[in-house]
Amino acid sequence: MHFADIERLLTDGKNLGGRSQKIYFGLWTDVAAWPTEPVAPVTLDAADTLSGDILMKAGKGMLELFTTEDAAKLEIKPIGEEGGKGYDLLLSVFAPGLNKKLLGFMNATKNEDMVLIAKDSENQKYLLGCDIRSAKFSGGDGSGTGSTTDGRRGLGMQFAYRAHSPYTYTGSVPLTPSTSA
Amino acid sequence: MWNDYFTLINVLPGCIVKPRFGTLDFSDPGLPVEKVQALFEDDFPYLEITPLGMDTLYPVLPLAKPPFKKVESFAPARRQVKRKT
Repeated sequence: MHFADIERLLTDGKNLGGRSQKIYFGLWTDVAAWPTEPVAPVTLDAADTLSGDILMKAGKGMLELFTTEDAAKLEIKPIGEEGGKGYDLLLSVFAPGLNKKLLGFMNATKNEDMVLIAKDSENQKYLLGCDIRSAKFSGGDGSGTGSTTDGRRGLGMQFAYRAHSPYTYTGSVPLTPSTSA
Repeated sequence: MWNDYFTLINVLPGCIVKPRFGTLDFSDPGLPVEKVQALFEDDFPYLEITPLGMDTLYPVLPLAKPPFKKVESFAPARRQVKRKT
């Protein structure tokens, strides 16, 4: 690894917080091939970037889930003891409305192995899931009808993915079903 | 149309999200060829180039013949050997 100075790294001063209003999801078992983690990276940038694309099994694609603006976030939380550090990537979303489709989504995914892709306001993507570990429904906050008329109905869901390192994803998101075997 | 030059492989025609390019709908024949070509050059895994695309976008120019130059060569002057008489 070639360490280098880390200066002010804002492109044109841009640094908007928050997440995009869509996340992409799929079942972990529907993934045919995963992007690869950096091997013996030489630079700091390379130490953070996955190579390649996520490829889905035949007939499967990734799907979109809408989330309310400023009600979703991705948290990168260091965990573990000294000598065994890792990260919890916690993706929180709030899907407005309490319709059957949303409740069905929560029912269907609560014990499933998932793969998720989250995009931040600077268009950088994060992949939650790898070939050995999936993202899991880990709870939620604010799900329900709301208590007052100026509250909101909807589902607040959180997904957790435990990884040895957080990586950014530069590959594509196939929203159309795969035809490969 | 882009699909004269490229073929979508391994997925059904539909939307694919790609950083720097946004959401691309490959069921739309009106996608700009330049954009699809840039994706292809970015190692996008769902595109294959057609023979027409290869000929049109990456033409192999015939090697230009070097200009003909007449090379004049002179035979070295023979050494005059005087014969003894």
